[in-house]
Amino acid sequence: MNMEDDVILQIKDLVIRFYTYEGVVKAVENVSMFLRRGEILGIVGETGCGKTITSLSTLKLVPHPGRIEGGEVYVKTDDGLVEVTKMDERSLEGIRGRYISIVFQEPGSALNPLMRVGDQIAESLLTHRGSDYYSRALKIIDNEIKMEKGLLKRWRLMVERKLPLINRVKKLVKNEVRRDVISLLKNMGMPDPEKVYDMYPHQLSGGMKQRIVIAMALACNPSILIADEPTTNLDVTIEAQILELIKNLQSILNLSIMYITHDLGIIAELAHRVVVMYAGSVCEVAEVHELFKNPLHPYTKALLESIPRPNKPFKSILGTIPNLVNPPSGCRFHPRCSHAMENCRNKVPKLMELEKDHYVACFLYER
Amino acid sequence: MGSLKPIISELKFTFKRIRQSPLSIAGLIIIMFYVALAIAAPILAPPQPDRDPYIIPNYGISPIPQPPSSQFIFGTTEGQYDLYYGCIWGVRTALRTGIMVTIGVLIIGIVIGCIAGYYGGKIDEIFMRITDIFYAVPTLVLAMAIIVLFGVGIDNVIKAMIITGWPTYARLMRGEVLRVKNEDYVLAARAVGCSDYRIITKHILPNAIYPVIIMATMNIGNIVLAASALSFLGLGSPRGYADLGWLISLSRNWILGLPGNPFAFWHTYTIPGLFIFTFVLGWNLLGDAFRDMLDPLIRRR
Repeated sequence: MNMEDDVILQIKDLVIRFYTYEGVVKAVENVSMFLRRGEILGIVGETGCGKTITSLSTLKLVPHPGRIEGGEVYVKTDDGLVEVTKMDERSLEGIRGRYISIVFQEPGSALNPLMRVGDQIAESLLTHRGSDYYSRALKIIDNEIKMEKGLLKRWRLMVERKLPLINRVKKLVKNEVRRDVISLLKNMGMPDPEKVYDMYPHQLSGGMKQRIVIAMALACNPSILIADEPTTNLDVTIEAQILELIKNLQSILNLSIMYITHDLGIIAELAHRVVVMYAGSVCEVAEVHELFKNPLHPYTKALLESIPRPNKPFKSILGTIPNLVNPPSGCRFHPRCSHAMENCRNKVPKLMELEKDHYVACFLYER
Repeated sequence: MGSLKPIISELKFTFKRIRQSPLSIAGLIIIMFYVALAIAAPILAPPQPDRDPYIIPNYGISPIPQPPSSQFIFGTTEGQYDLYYGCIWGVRTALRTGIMVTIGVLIIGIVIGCIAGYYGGKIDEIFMRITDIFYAVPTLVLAMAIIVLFGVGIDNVIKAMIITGWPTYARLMRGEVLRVKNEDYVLAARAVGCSDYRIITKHILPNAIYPVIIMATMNIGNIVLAASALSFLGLGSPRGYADLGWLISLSRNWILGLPGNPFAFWHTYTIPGLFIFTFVLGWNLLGDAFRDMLDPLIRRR
C-alpha cells in the first residue's frame, strides 16, 4: 500500500499490546489500513477484535495498560504528514479535535454531567481557536477605542478592556463562541439550539446527546471523524436519524469517516469501503459492493452467512473468539475455519491485493 | 446569558431537604448562632483599647475562681480570668482554627490527590507513600512534635493540624479522581484536545470533589476538639489566650471542688465545656445536613 495523494490517514503495521496480570494481550497485530479523503470506511468485527483500540491509536489515546509496540500512524495535517505514535502530548493536543475527532459509543457517559452541553462544545472551539477568537475580539475593541471621540468615554473603554471583572474582551469572546456553537447546533438539526446550549446532559434524550457529542467532535472542522458504534445504544428510529445526519455531514463537509460497528446492515447502508477485522488482525479489505457480492476470506463469508434471514436456518460461526493472551499460531482464524490447511497453523498470512482495492489475508488465494 | 432556572430549582430542593430534617435545622441554627457570636464578639465582650482582643482580661491575682456574679456573668476562673469574655472570644478562636485548618487541609489534599490520581504511575506511588508515612504516626503525637518544633501558639496549632490532617483528604480525593478519570467524558475531552490542566479543573474536579467537601464539613468539629485537646495539654495557646481548650485546662485543679462541696467551682469547667460540646455537635449535625444535600445517592431519597 503506497501513500496515495488522497489518503488522509494511514495505519501501518500497528502492534498494540496490553500488559495485564493474566499476561500480555496481543490486542492488535500488524494492522494496516488507510482512509481516503471524503470516504466512509467501515470497520467490522466481533467484540474484542481490536476495532476500537485501533481507532483510538490514531489519537494515541490507547488506554492503560495498553501500549503501542510498533507500527506507524500517519495523519495528513496542514503541515503535511505527521506520525502520531511518536508525538508528545503537547503536540498531540493540536491534532486531537483539530484533525481527528472521535464520537463514542455511549452518548450518556461521553458528556460531563456537571457542565452545560453548550460549554462542552465551546471547549473544543476554545482549545483550538481560542487565540483567534481572542485576537479578533481585541481588534474589535481596539477599533472601538480608536473611533471614540469623547475623551472620557474613550478612557472608560480602555479601562473596561483591561479590568479583570468587567473584561469586555472576555465577554466578547464568550458571545462569539456561543454564537458559533448555536449555529453548529442548528446544523446538527437540533431543535431550539439557544435553549439547548444551557441545558445539562441529563435533560436531553439519547439522540439529542449523541447530536451534542457529534457537534463536539465536529466543532473545529476536523478532516477525519472516527465513529465508534455511535448508534449502538439508541433505538431504531433515532439510529436512522443519526445515520442520516452522519451521511449528510459527510457529504457537506467532505469528511473522511472511520465507522466502527458490528452491524453489517449499517455498513451496507453507509460505507464506501470495508475493513473486516478478526482477533486483532485485518482479514479482508474491499469496496462495499465487492465485499457483499464476492467475499473472499472464509471469516467474511461466515460473517455474511450469519446474518439472520427469513426462511433460512440460522447459522453461526463455530467455536469462540480466541483468547488474545495466547492467540492461535499462524492465521488466527484457523481453529474455526473450514478451509484450514497445514500452512494456516504455522504461518501468518499477509494482506495481498487480489483485485484492485480488494485485499485479503488468506493462504487460499496464495499463488 | 445562562439560564438560572435549573440552579434555582435545585437550590429550592436543597432547602426543602434541609427543612425536612429537624436535626439539620438544629445544626444550622447552632452554627449560625456561633458564627453570629464570633462576628459580634467585639460588641458582646468589648476588648480594652490597645490590648490584643484575644487576651482575656484578668482581674486580680487570686487563684480561687469566683462564681457567677453581676460583674462576671459566667464567673471567673483560676487567676481571675473573665470566663464570659474568654468563652465569647474562644468561639472566635475555635471558628478560626476550624476554618483555617479545613481550608489548608483541603487545598493540600485536593492538589496532591488530583496529581497523584490523574498522573498515576511513579508520581502516584511517591505521593501516596508520603501520605502513608504521615498516616503511620499518631495524629496527636505528630501534632505535638510539630508544635514543640515551631513553638506554642494558636498559629502553630493550625499549622500542625494542617500538616497532620491532609493525608486523609489526599487519599479520598485520589480515590475519587481514579473513579472519574476512567469516565468516557474525560476520554472525550482528551480526544477533543483539552490540556491536562483543563481536564483536571473542568472535568475531574467538579465530579470528584463532593465526598471531600462533605468530609471536610463533618470534620470541622473534630478539628476544634483536637485543637482543644492540644490546648488542654498545654501545647495550644499561650497563657491568657481566649481559647476554650485552655479555659478547660485551667479548671483542671478545681474539678474536685471543696471538701463537702464538690460542685463549688462547677462553672469553671461546665461553661467552656458546654461551649465546645454544642459547637462540635452543631458542626457534626451540619455535616450530616451537607451530606444529605450534596451526596447524589441520598439526595433524592
